[in-house]
Amino acid sequence: MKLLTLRVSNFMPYRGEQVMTFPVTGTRNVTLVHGDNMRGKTSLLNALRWVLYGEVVGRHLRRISSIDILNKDAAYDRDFVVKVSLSFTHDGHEYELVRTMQPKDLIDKPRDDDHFDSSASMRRDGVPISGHLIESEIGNILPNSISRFSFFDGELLQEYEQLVADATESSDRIKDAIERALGVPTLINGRLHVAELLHRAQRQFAKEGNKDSQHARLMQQTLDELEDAKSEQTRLTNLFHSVSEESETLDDELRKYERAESVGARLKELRENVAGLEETRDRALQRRRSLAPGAWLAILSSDIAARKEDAESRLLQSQNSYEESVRSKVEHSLRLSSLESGSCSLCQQDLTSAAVAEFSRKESQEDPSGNISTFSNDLATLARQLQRLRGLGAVSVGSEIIQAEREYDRTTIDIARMRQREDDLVKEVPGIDMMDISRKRQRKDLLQREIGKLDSQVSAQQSKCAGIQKKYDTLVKAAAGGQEASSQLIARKVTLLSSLAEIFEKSVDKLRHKLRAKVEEAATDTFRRLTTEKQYSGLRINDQYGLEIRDHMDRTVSVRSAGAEQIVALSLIDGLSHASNSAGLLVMDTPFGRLDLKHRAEVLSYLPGMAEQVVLLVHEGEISKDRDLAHVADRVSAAYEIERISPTQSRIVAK
Amino acid sequence: MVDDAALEALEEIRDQVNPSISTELLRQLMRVEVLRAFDERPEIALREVDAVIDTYLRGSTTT
Repeated sequence: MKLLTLRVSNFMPYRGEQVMTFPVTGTRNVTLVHGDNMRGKTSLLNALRWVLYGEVVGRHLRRISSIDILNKDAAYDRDFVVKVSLSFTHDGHEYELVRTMQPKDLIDKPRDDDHFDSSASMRRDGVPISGHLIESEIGNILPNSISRFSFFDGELLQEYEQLVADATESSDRIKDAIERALGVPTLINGRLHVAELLHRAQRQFAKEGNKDSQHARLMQQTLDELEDAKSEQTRLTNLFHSVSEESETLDDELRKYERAESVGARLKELRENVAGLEETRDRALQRRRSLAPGAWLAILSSDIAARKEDAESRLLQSQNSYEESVRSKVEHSLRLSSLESGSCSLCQQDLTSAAVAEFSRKESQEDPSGNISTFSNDLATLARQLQRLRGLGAVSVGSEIIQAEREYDRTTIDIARMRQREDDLVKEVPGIDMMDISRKRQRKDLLQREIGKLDSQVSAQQSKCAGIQKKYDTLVKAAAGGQEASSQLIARKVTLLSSLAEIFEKSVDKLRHKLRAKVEEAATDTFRRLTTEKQYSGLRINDQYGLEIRDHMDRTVSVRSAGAEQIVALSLIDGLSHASNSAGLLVMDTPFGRLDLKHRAEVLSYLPGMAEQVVLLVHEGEISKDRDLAHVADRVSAAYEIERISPTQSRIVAK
Repeated sequence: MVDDAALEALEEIRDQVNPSISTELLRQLMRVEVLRAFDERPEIALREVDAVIDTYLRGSTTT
């Protein structure tokens, strides 16, 4: 199925006629529709559902009433006609489908669903199709029950995720839908039809086909015996399925516990990390507190440094002055003793008159004895001062406080993050009752033994049925010999139907098995392309069509992020479209909600190849025109923007 | 693909149960089931399957 044109009129937020075309040229097969939330993206998806199937669904598959389909502004203007037309191609034919809803005769102003009439018309290659055949024609093109694989939204992704998580009503529903998409019911129906025809043929032969009354009685007895044996086989098979189902349910529950145990281990590790971080944080706090009393030094550090420099300079000066004074005092003593003795105190030569005059002059000018004690005192004072100043400047208090402060902040943030993660993990696993787990494991073991026993009983019963069937077939053949042609025909029919019944019976399980393997293979291929964790080995499918992620050592990855769940769901959809009669069409509403940028880039690059035609309904938060479009730009064939006119009206604008 | 996979399964089982049954009969039965899979009237499919089998029996000498 390939969409060509969609026209909507007075449908939900679209007042008057709005037109969209969906061109596909060469490799360009993506139609992009941008629109903010509440503008009408899902309404476009619903317009497709409505024109094809006459129904519109909201959240949780709730049916939306006719009165809510009608645009509010149109209703206010007394325009009560809703119309959606869709042209598309399928299997070489061109179709035009129109669905209209309007008030019934004599209804002036419709107020509820009963006040509306709805009708559909369809043309194939321009030739009208009779009204009662429209539904089956659509059923052959894209049956409603499997249309969700072509028209899907975030809710469908959630249902797929549910399928993996547990066995619920919704997972049963989706399993049924998957089997329909894969064609399993076709064989199941075939099995029913053949079984019913066999039953009728056997009765007919017993009634009309045998003229020998004794032989007829024997055949009737064998037939009764066969039916009893088959009925017992059905009872045992049902019991086997019921026990297997209970065992599978228990398996799922126990798997959840395994998951809970794995989460528990992660919680333990997380809590240990938190405790370590709390210790580091407390140490940082302690250090900060111990450094706080000296914090004022950080403020005065430049002043202290200047004073220290000044004191060092003055100390040097004082030392020089002190040494000069000491030298002057020594010279003074020598001169005095030389003047008193009349000869030089150093060389013992007599003083000349000029030397006496010079010595006397100097003695009258200098008396350094007073300076030495002053300089000595200054020197001691300055040395003490400098020592104190050096003591103050020895540790960089300011930088240490900053370091402690940063350590404290960093660990506080890390702790908060880990606590948040801890809360998330706790939410993932409800309280675990260990006794309950133990009981369930015991029950599971018991069921396993029961399954083994029933399996043998079913096999034995099947052999018994086959034996009786063989006996019956022989009787039928013997009875047919020498009978009239019509009786021979009934006998052959019984034999043929008997074989066909067995073939169809066994084929159902075989087909299921084969299709699951196909889906698993295709989904794994897609998953490995889409996931950013390239170490994962792939996916494994279970009986419910749920998929488990396998790691590089082929172990189940029990804890999966919301983004990973979405990737798995998308992989399943792609796997299904590969394994089923794909419509070749994919309309996705808001599919990127929980994906990070890397996954989004991977999915966007891969999407155009998932179907022959892709329609993406997205909001700016999902696909930024500047950031993300590069991944898909060369595949876009048409782009539209849904613009807001009023709270109850939007319009579609081609870009 | 649905038809192919189902037919393939039928053929494999046929070979074990009764190889004399022709592939053409299985294909015709599947065609009826696929076409009538979404028909709300089960008696029509039953009648058509019956017709396919009768036609096969009339045209076949071995079953």
